[in-house]
Amino acid sequence: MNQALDHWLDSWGEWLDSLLATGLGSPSQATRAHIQAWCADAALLGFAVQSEQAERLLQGATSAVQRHQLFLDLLLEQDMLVRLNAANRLLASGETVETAAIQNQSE
Amino acid sequence: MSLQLWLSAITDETLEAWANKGLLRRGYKLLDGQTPAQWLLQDEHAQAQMDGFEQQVGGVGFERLRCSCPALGSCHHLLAFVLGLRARLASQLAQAAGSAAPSALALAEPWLIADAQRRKELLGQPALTKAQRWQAQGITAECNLDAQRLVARIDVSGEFTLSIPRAVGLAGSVCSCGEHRCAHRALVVLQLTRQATPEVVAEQAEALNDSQHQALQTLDQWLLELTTLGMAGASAMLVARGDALATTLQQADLPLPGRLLARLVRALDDERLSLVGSTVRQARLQLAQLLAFRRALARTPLPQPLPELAGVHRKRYQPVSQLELLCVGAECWTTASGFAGYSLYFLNPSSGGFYTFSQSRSQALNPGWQATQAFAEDLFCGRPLRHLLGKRCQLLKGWVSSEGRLSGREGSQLQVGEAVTMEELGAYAQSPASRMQVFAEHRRRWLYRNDPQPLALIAAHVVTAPQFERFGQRWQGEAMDDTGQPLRIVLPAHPLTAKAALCLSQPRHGVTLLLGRWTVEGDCPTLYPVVVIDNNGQQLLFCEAR
Ligand SMILES: [Zn+2]
Ligand SMILES: [Zn+2]
Repeated sequence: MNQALDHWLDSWGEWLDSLLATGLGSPSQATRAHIQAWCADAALLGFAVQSEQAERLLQGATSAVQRHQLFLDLLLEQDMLVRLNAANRLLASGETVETAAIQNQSE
Repeated sequence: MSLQLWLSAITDETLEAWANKGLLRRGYKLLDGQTPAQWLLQDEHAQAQMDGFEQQVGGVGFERLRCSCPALGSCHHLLAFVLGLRARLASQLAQAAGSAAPSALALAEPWLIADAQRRKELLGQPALTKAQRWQAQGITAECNLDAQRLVARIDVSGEFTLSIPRAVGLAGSVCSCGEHRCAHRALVVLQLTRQATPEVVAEQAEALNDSQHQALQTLDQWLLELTTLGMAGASAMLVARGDALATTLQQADLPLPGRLLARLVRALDDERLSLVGSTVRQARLQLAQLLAFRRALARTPLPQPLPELAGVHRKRYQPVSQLELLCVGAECWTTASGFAGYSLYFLNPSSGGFYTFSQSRSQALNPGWQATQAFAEDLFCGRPLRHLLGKRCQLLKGWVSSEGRLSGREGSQLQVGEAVTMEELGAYAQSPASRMQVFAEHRRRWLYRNDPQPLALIAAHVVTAPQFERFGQRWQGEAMDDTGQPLRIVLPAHPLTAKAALCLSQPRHGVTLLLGRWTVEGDCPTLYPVVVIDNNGQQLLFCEAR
């Protein structure tokens, strides 16, 4: 329904996977770049809080425990948004089918 | 005086809860040849002789009843004793009609106990603590009041019924758990007192007990290590500890978080041993689901009752009346987790929603119980289940859970009418849009619950007969609904599947309705049919009892 949003959610999942694979201690240069690009999109899509959380995740001053909390917050948030997005898409597709059915009847 | 009030307010149901049906019947029989008018009956003491044994009671409460016969607890002598005293008091009251004493007490509410110290004396601290924890878990008692008494149902690891007479209060109360001071009583007192006067019941208890707290803290620690080390750095040790922790969670009555953790640990182990590529995503999805429940468990009060969050199935019933129900089919089923059961399905014409009456048993614990046989023999509101199929019914009085489960409890009344015509039923078939709506709403409401799929009644005909599919180990076919939308038909493995597939592929004329569980697999609308309805009536695909 909203391609930019779908894309951004996928990209979010990808960097979460990278971090989960390697651990939060020292994200690779590629993962850092990935997160920074994602943050720019986040601001555009209106997810300022999430973008700010991800930036803190990369800062050296953030403690291991804080990093862990931020990571879990972002992981759960992404998952909930994906599920909500899927449910909304189903609703939208239902409306489309309904419109088609009404058109069929009126023909 | 309170002894007599108590005795005159005791009902047969109360006696049945205290003893049992059989003893009550024997009590009535024994009473037949007795003359209660000659028994000793004083203000706080009563005494009788029957069968050569002596019965007496020294105050309000079943625990004060004594019989000299060798039986432990209740016996038919004591039932005859109570029944006789009650009858005698009733006839005395009838003679003295006009005296205003009972009506002054008619509206007494002895379950409202505003004084915390008094609650502690009457109920005991252990029962109060337990009840407070239940309250924090979102568990409530279902209370019904009449002029004589309060009857409460409490569904927490089993269903319990508690009755408290207005006249004498807790001292004369009976709970089906069999104890005199139980948490069920405490729950009812706390709940109703808080409702009446919120300011006097301030205690807010923790929903979780110590071992649950401990297990969840260990889980948090384990998760911290996992995210710090990453899956690549996860050791055999971390995996082994995760496995042990999953068991601990299960043992602490948190089966769902336990199962979710066990799955996550499996993914972790696979990745570690490089058995499968790209399990990181899989592990992340499982981690998210585990976190959703972990976070919910950290809130007070809990966002959902604990048993639901912890993965225990529980039904909370609300009374309903005048509910119209079209009986649209039935099935017998088994689950992968080892349960067998049957379900009888009803459609409510005004809302289009479905209602279910089910029974199930663990096959391991009840090897002799057969769902097919139970379906053939069981009753719903006193009617054989088979006689309801295809009929228009009205639930005059009954109980329903928020998820549409019907309780067959005593006191339910069902009126059974004519058979529903095919034309009428056809009008309730759901359009693709409304099916999608129901499904999406369900998903949105329960982001983290994989419940059984919603039921749907669909006007459709089978275009490709179901065939066994080796890779999915299930039967799969194609149908087309009356708006032209294709629909995948799936039949799970079941002793009757081959027969069901044959039945589905019979050529039919006119409107055909399929009742089943409806879902979206991938992007494909999919129906797991359980009943075919056509001009010949209902054909139950997974139920032989006809
Ligand atoms: Zn006895
Ligand atoms: Zn009890």
